Amino acid sequence: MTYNPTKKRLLALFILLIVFSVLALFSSQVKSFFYNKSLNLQMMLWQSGQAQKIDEEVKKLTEENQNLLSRLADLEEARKENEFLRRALDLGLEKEFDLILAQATAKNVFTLKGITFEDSILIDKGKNDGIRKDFPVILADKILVGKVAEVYDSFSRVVLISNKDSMIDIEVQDTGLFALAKGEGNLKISLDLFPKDQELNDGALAYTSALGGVYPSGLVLGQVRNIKKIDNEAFIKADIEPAFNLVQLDRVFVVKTAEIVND
Amino acid sequence: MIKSILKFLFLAILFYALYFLQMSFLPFFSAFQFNFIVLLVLLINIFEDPKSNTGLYCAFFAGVLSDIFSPYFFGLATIILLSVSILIKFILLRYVRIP
Repeated sequence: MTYNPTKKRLLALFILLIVFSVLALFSSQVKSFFYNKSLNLQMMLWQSGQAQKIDEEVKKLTEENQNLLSRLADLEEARKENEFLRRALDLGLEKEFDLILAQATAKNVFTLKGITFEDSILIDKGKNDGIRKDFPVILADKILVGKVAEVYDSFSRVVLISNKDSMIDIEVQDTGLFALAKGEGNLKISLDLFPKDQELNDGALAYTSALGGVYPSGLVLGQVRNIKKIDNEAFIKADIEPAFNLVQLDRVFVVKTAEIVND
Repeated sequence: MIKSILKFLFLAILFYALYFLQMSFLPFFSAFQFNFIVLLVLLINIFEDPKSNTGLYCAFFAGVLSDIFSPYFFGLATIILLSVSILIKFILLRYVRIP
């Protein structure tokens, strides 16, 4: 098979060259004619291309924005944790106690085997992290939150000091007297066994005493409020306003020393 | 003859549309940052029957459109594309044997 260009083809090529030579002479007129005729089509395609590009950009920027927001949330988390740890370090908590930092993951209501426990929280540390039952749970400001009630592999349930089962031996500020803080549920704590003949001031701090054996001494429970002296009662009735805010409860420390206290 | 004219017209319209697509729409997409009209002409010439004229028509239309919208002198793109197409056909006819 050999290639033999026909005379026809050569002629066509020759004519073409002549046509182009002529067109080249009037190229500006030819070009402006085609520009004008195709302007609308060009504009339409350009705009749709731009719209596609904008959509793509919006999608890309939205994705980027989401990534940045997620990074921002991570940084905010790190900042909070940092602040919490700084507060703890300022108080020298790490020297006083062996602490495990934990994050509250659920609050107030927790159902186990059909029973609903109130005034309890879940934390993200469990048996694998060295958490044991009855370990006290505190905040960075030495504020008592509660104690570990149930321990699972990777999480634990903490009963708050306001839980109905909670009874804590306390010392009332400026009096040197011991009393009992009883959990009433729904974040309420009552003061009991405080002698009626003793002076008790509204706003006095209640903190743990070492008597109970569960909690280390000196952890703040809250302030004494609503003091009532009832005639036929041997002890003063009062409420203790918890020092922690359940809504703002985020990071907590689990104190490992409780194991030593129990021993 | 009519068939040839129809084919000629069809290719003229097709390349006109493709050329504007290439010029005004595809530059917005990073995947199309090459001259796909030239690529298309080359592919048609390579894969069509070497005796067919379709590839030459395509080269002609693509060249003319490029010339109209290019700043160079009229006919440059057409001559280059037609020459390349003829060269491809020549090589395919002379040196390539497809069993």
